[in-house]
Amino acid sequence: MRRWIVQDRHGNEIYLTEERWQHIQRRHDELEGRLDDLLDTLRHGLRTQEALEPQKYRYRRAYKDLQYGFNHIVVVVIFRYDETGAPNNFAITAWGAYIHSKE
Amino acid sequence: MSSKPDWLIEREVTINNHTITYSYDQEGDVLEIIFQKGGGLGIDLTENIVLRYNRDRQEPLSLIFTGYSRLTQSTPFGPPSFHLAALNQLPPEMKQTVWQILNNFPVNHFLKVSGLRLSPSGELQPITYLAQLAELLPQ
Repeated sequence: MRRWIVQDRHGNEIYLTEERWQHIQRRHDELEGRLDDLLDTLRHGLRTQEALEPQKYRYRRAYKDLQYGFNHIVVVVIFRYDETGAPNNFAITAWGAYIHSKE
Repeated sequence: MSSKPDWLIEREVTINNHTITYSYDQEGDVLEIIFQKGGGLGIDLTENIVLRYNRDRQEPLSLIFTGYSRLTQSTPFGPPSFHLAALNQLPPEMKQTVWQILNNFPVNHFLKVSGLRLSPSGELQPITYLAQLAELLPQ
């Protein structure tokens, strides 16, 4: 299965499978055709760790979208290890988000 | 690509003549309740609950629950509630739209919103919990 592999700003390798990318586009029309922006969000975006599930991180990067009104792309990534102990970090979902700036 | 991924459970349910799709990602433990197809924007209601809606029509598209199993883990006091902290950070117009959506069907069928006052003179805080609906439970 085709997959895209990127490295985040902390040096972590993260992949997105084509299967998940198709699912994201099918469910979240606002990201249709924005694969490059999604991958750039993983490469350059800020991340926050989820309190309920510390193995999950949300990556976000600012993107202005006039059609749908979102101003960020958010990608959820799971950090795991495979049976050999090697990192197995992959994107599970993504959407266009509105994040209000306090500025 | 037409075959369904093995990590995905999808089911359609009809509630009040409204077709709703339940989409559960077993691998990621992410539940999405889809009210209608389309593009929109997502607002963080809590750290783990996102409301997607269409800005122009002001209609809900879906609710996303990351860490669904933990969100619905029962407590000795009943279902856990979460502070709708992020709502106060929204611009007033957007906050009003989101409130309207939260308090109407279909979203209010799944998300129950109430107010919490920690002391009689304290500020009222909006909180929410996910209704335990049999049709949504993973098989």
